[in-house]
Amino acid sequence: MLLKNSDFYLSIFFIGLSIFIFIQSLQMPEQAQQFPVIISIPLFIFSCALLVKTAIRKKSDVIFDIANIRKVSILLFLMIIYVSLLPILGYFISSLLLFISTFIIMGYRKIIFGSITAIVVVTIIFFLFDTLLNIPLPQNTFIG
Amino acid sequence: MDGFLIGLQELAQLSSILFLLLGVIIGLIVGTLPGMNDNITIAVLIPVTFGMDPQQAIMLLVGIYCATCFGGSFPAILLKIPGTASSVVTTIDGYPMSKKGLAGQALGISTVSSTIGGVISGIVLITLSPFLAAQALKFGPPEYFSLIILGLCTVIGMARGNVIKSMIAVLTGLFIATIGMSPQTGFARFTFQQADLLDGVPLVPLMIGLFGVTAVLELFEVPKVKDVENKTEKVKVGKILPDKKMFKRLTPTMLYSGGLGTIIGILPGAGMIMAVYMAYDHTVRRLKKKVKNFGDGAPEGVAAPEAANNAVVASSMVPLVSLGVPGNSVSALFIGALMIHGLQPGPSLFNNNPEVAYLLIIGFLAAYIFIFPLGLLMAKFLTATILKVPKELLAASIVILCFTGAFAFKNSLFDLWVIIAFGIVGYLFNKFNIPFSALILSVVLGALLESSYQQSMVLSNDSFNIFFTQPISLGLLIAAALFVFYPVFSAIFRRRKNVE
Repeated sequence: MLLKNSDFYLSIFFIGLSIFIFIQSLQMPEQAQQFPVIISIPLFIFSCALLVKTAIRKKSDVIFDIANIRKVSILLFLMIIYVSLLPILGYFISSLLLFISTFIIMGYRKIIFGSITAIVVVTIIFFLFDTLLNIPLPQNTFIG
Repeated sequence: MDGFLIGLQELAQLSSILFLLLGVIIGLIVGTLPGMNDNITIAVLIPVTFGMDPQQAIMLLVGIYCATCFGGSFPAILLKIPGTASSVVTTIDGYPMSKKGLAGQALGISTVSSTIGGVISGIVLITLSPFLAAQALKFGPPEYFSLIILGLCTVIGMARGNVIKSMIAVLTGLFIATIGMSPQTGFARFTFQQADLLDGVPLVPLMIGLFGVTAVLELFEVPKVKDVENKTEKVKVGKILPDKKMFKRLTPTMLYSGGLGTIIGILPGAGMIMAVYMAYDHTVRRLKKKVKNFGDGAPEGVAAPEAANNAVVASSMVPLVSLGVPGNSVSALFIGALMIHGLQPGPSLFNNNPEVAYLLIIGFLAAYIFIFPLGLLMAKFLTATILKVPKELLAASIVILCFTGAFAFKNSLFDLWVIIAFGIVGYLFNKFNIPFSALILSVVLGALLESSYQQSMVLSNDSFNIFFTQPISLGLLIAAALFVFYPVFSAIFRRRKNVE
């Protein structure tokens, strides 16, 4: 599925962003607002220029293919779950689960080889950060 | 001269050499893997350098930067799959050479050309940076303001046909740079009552998100992974080193393209893609009477882009090392790497930390001592094996490394949300064809731009004249205007010519 007028949505988003920056900046002290105001005005102008350009050409420079959006959204969802579970399950288990689910979603079929690779990679990264670099990684709430 | 001796002394340390070697090995492997590049690797590995000495960290990153660019040519020649974007042009003649059974020769030419390009560029970095840094010490706030404007304008000007989107990217980056406490008043801007944002959006997680997470999201979209695996089995490398006659034939092309790449690398925002296309284009035009098989396996078609892209590597560090202003996204990453070690890149680095400054610039030359033999060895024996690494396992490993690195930055879960957010931003920017290198540069330069602007206003009693009355500042602003308006005028001129 293709999103043909993607630049139209893009320009609307940036027009909205520039208005947001401008309005928010007006509520700031004078010295703090100066720079964001200076940014918001050209951002508004160039976003409008993009809108006009898209309207005149009646098509975008790019056509957004949203065929992959489902796959990408699943991975993003997994990442959000990973960050949420990290303080509870700890680094090792959460990372193993994220590693394995990532390659499964991508369609990798050799589950056993993939899982062994997951254990090796996560162990190496854990050892590198936690032991060699002395950076404490999140622990499992239940087993420590 | 003392500075160079200090740099050489630092380089002679066993640990410096070992980390440079490690960086080169990582860079060669990563460059070979399609979908991975220097930006991703350096962004993900910056947190790993926390526990190292600054010298070791710098050597590791320099090795990665130099070798990744070179490693990208291997799959470009053997499989017509550029390992990095800068190897796109190498496929034009590299792959046909490979198909004719001259893969080894193409890889050898690539190795020799890359080394020559890198060495030319390294020499320019060593000679030019200390000189420019000495001049930059005379810069005041208006000069810095104009210099940053020049940097941002070159990024915009180089984005031919995409000026509006580049401008939007720059302005969005400047907006992101305003998030956090205002440097003048301490007022919290756009923080939404989030205490974690008071110091601004953390730079290292932002870069990990933009490069690492974005790369993984894009790896999800690459189809036909099995095609790559099947293709590698058929490749036979053969003889590697070009003979004397071939070397003599290619020397002018390598020197010319190396010089061109070096000049383009110094310009902030220009980048490797532009260098390789220009070098190839000029070589074809220069030699079209002598060489008839461009596009069908001409050795010059491999030598030109490879000398040019490797020449961009070291020279792209000139603006950062001498002026403190990054010229491309990798040098912006170096800012992050230096800052986590408490070092401020720029002219003061030569005075305050000469051992680091000189080691950094000498490192870019020294890296090729390892790249040359290791590159030849890898071309012969390892490329096909590395290319068999399943993309799915590679993507999963990058995800874990991204999250671990971002967490290690400040031991904060907030930074993990930052990398997810900027992974989405990077993915969407790529989808909408907005150059996010422009975003990175403006995020990095935004704070300096604002402070130099405010200081200039204080100095001039709120008059903009200060930017136009100081000669250096005026010169920089004129150059900035030329960069922005040149593509516009040349487009109008071309259109008129076509009409006529």
